[in-house]
Amino acid sequence: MNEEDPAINPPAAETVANSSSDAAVAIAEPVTTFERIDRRSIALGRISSLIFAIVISIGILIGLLAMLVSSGLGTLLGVTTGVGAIVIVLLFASAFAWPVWEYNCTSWRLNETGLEIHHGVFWQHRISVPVARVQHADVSQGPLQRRFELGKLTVHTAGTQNASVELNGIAHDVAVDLRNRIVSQRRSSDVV
Amino acid sequence: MSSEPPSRKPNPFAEQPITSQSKDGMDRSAMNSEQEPVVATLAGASDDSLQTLGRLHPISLAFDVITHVRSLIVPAVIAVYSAAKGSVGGLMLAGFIFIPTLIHSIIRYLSLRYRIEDSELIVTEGIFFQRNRTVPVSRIQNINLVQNVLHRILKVAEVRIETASGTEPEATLRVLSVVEVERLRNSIFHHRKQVQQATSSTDEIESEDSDNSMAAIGQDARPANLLLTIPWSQLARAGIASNKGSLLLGVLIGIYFQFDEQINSQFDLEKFIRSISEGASTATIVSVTTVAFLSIFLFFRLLGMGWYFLRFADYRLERSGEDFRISCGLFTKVSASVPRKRIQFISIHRNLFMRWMKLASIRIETAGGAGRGQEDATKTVSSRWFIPVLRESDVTRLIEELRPGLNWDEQAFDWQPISPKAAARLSRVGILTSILIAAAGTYLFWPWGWAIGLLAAPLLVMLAIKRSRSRKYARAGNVIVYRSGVFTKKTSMTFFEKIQTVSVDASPFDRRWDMATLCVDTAAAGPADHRLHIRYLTTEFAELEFDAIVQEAADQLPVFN
Repeated sequence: MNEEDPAINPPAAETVANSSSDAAVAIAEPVTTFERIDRRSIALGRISSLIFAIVISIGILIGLLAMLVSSGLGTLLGVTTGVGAIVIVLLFASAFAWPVWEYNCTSWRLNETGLEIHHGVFWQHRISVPVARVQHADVSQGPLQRRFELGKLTVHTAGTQNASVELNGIAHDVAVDLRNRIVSQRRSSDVV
Repeated sequence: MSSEPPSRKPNPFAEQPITSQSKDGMDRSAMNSEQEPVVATLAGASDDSLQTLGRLHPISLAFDVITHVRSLIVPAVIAVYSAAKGSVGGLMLAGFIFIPTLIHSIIRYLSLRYRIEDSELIVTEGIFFQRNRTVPVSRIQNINLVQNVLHRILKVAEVRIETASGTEPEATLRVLSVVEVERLRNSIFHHRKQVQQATSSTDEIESEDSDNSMAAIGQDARPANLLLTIPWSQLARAGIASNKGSLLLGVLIGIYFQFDEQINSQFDLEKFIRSISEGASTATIVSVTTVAFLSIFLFFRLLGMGWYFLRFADYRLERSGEDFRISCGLFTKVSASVPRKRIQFISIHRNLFMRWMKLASIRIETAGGAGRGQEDATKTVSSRWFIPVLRESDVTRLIEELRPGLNWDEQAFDWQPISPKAAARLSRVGILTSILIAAAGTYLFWPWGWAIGLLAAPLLVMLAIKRSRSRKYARAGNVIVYRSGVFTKKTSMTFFEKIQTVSVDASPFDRRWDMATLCVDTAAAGPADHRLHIRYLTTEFAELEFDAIVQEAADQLPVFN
């Protein structure tokens, strides 16, 4: 999975270190290169998108069935079935491919200036939060994420448009460690 | 306040050393002559201002009920109407609506207490469900006052205490007597002084004119740096330049179409016009129509002028210590204070008419404060219309006053243009729009409707080119400046220590043109109509600036208080 299409790599992530396996080592020394998110997030992403795809597909099938019962066979039903089939195929295809793209397009680093996150497949964002501006940071974990030992780091600032910045798909340990580092690195106690 | 010598006249923003007060004693006595009775009461009241419990003015009961009734006006009218017709149901409905409201108001009035204890303002409220709100005095950012005509007659005021948090005032005390307000302000500012060592008090004292317009709320008995007053003539010109009246035109048109059918049954506009124009020569019709349109235009400009008079009459901007204070209003007086350090964002707006008249307006954004959606009078004055109108020649002086140390010279900045391809991109959008217009025109006015699109195309392309040329970005020292606008030119700035996050965003379209958007986020809430979202920069430049701004912002600790 490391040999993904380079075209969908984020343009600014020049130095992406693939270090999901030895994350603990990377944390110990000051990180100045960009880190990728955890590889397990691909599997997690696939599972959750699959669940979504299945739910939607069931909905579409029920709809088609209802049409068949109410108005019988006809051109309309044929067209709708075709469209529904395309939507279902696309859903499953994207459930397979999207998490990989997302994995490729997301990277982060924490250095002395702050936390910088790159994310977004089509709409690409690169955001930096100076550590001194962090109001508080939390780590959260959903039920599926718990199975994969993944977590989400949310950094809150006093800003308006980007009042909270999320980093999803990192290992839970890394998230906790990041939070602790951000909070301890913050020099100012009286921000607002 | 108990530590204060009784001889000294209390004042709301007591940060100045006594020596500086005696220096201008003559001016002050002149200023105070109007409000002597108030001050006399205050001298007695200020001694026990710290420990005693404060409570609402009895009249607040009435105001509270009025506010509630106003928000329930529709059911209230129905209920009263049917009750008047003798219907028992209506009477019950009226009781249903008013008795809980009345009880709520009475409970609120009876139970609301505030006090200052250990440098914290504590507001308790409620009997069954008690609410206890504690606000550290050092975190209080603003104490804003609103006084409408009724308030002024009754010598009371609505007090809004704001902190940096949230979208609405931390505590609203509606209403307090003027004397109480004074006491509250005194003790809050006294505490604030104790908590954070008083800032430099080296202000020059220039107390000027004698008629202190805010004497009614006993404000400003002390010398402050008068920065700006706006004469009526300038307000009039600002009103003429503004579009405020045209908003009303929109409302009127809406009403017209709403009642179109009802109106038509009695009064047919077309028939009316035809009956008038019958027998008149073309020249007469043209001239009458022109005059009619001109007078409508003038009428709405006059309405705009009226709005400016109502809101900003007697405008005064002062600085005392580190706080800016604004007071204005013809009938409803608003007095707001804005600590200088809290200003997150400054924006200078100049619309077409203003530029002709060499005028400008300055808006600011501060952290927290009132809500984003609806804005109340104080918010309108303290941020959206910080300085509603000022002469172009005063802009530099006031910007430098808002931000000491900033060398404001708009011409001298190293203005960076946006991507050279932006003009082409925006033009393409313009051409696409005109094709759409042509298609719609053809559909609506067959067969010559496409001509509208053809006419629109050059205009839109010209506008696109102008727009792309008007967008400039500059970073100078501690400040980031962005300006844009073809008709209404806006120049906005923020400062490194105010920056919360920086981001570079690129949509798929952006990437096709090798462009990116640089966004700088600050803690300023409120309707920022010129955010620091700088679109159509070249990717290279955006990334370079991103790195530079991140570095600079991280080096500077945020300052809010």
